[in-house]
Amino acid sequence: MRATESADADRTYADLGPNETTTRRTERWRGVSALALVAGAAGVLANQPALVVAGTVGIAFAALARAAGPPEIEVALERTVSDADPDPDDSVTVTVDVTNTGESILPDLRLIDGVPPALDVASGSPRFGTALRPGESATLSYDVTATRGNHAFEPALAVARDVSGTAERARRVRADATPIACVPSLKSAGELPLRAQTTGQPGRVLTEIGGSGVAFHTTREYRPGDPLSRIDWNGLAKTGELATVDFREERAASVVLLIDAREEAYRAPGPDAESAVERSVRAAGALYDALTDEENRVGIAALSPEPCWLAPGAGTAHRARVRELLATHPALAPTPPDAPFYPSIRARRLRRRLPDDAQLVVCSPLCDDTIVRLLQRFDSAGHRVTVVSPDPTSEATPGRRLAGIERRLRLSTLRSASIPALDWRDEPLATALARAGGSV
Amino acid sequence: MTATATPPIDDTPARTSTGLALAASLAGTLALAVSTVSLAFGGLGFVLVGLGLVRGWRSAVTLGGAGLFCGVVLAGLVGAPASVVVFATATTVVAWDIATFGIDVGEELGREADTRRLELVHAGASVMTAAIPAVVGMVLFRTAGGGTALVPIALLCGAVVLVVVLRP
Repeated sequence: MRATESADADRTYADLGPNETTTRRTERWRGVSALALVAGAAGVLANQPALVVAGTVGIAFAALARAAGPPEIEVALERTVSDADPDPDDSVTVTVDVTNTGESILPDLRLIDGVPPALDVASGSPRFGTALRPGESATLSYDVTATRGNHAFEPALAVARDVSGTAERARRVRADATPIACVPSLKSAGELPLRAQTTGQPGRVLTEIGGSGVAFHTTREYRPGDPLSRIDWNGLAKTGELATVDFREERAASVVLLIDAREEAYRAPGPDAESAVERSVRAAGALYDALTDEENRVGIAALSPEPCWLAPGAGTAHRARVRELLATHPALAPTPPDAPFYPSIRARRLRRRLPDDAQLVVCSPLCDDTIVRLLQRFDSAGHRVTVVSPDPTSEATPGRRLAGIERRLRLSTLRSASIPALDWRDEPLATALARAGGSV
Repeated sequence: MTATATPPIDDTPARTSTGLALAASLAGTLALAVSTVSLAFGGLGFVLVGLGLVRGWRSAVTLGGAGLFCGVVLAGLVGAPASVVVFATATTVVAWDIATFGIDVGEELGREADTRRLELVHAGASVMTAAIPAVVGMVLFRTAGGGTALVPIALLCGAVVLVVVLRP
């Protein structure tokens, strides 16, 4: 009676593809016939027929195990979710109906549902064990907590064994289910001071261009045609010379919110904490809201293996597209990308797409030096850069403290290159923006 | 956020199987009360099975099953009644089967999962598999009346028939 079973079916069958089937023998009854023979032999030698009779029990189990064949897995799964379009942190109930569509009994059926990787199970269990007669169904249900993103279910793993538990067949079973799409609303968190790079349109970004406005800029010699309201009458009374006051013009900016979604940016202070990408996406949504409120045109781009680009714009339709993109674009998925990221190629493509007068607001945890070099290059190429950096470091271990110091050094590198960088620590974005005040 | 496909589960042995296996091994131990030595082995086996079920140790359960089996052989050697020996053997095998199954289900599906039906069906099948040969053996043993070599021969024939019938 030796057990040679492996621990977790999900790990054993990690490589099993969708709709693939595999069989194995667990050999859990190996040795039982030897014990039966020991009992029988002892009975014969000691002239005790009772032991020989007892040995038959062992023989019966050995025979059952030897005759075992893996049962056919013919099951149909039907998955329903209580709310396919939930708000963040809502609880969504997932119900899976499993039906034995085959001809034979499934005495031992174990089911592990393919919960979307980024969702946490709040209550209940996505695992289920049952026995099903032909045509019979059973139901499994559990709750998940919704987070931002488009969450597709993976095929469920079904493992069936024969009645003795010796022969096993495993199969990934697909179930058509609506993915859970959780699209957070864009909530403004506060104002981010922009760089003085603007378009020709009137707006609210103070520029260094003299003209009409509110904030004083310079006085200059009067030129015919200057509006009467801007003539420096006090100066005329004092010196007798005619001069015109120039104010700083207020114009609109064209902003591209660039989200760092490379694998390096998927860092979090703890295993259950929000990743820096998640915070960056949230920040981008909040900044989009605040910046478009001030009549700027705002676009979205991501630094990621998967291209992600939405040209600067404004208006209701653009806002809806931004909301959808931030929630469900694969480049901003809650799980890190597998494909490699080539910084120079992606940067070149992005530069080609950027409007000439666009400035960049970059949301990046600054977890490596590549991003710092990249941003400096963008800045010197004429796209003014502002950085909002969610802090994914913690003080828990010496290694993490070191990573925190390296990140602070990168922040000061950017600042010494006169790129404003906002360090967003473990606090609401509004607090970080308010702490930075007018000057990031 | 770390993205793991399998969130951690409480992998302690499943409840129903734990209860049934403890009951079966206790019944086996009590049946071994025919002699002190066999009862000692049976008690040791019961404790080991219990420990294995609490901690999820498969080897402890197997050692416990071996302890119970030694108790059965000793009881048989000192001439315990056939019904007692056969009953103790059956409960030993069933206890080991249900206990290792419970550990297995606990590790694979976790305690939060609904596995009641799976466990009950397995326990029922296990009891039936043990009961049928035990009852048939006992009936043969009683009708043969002891003394002759009829019982072993009949059992041997039965085993051959069983293997032939079950051969896939």
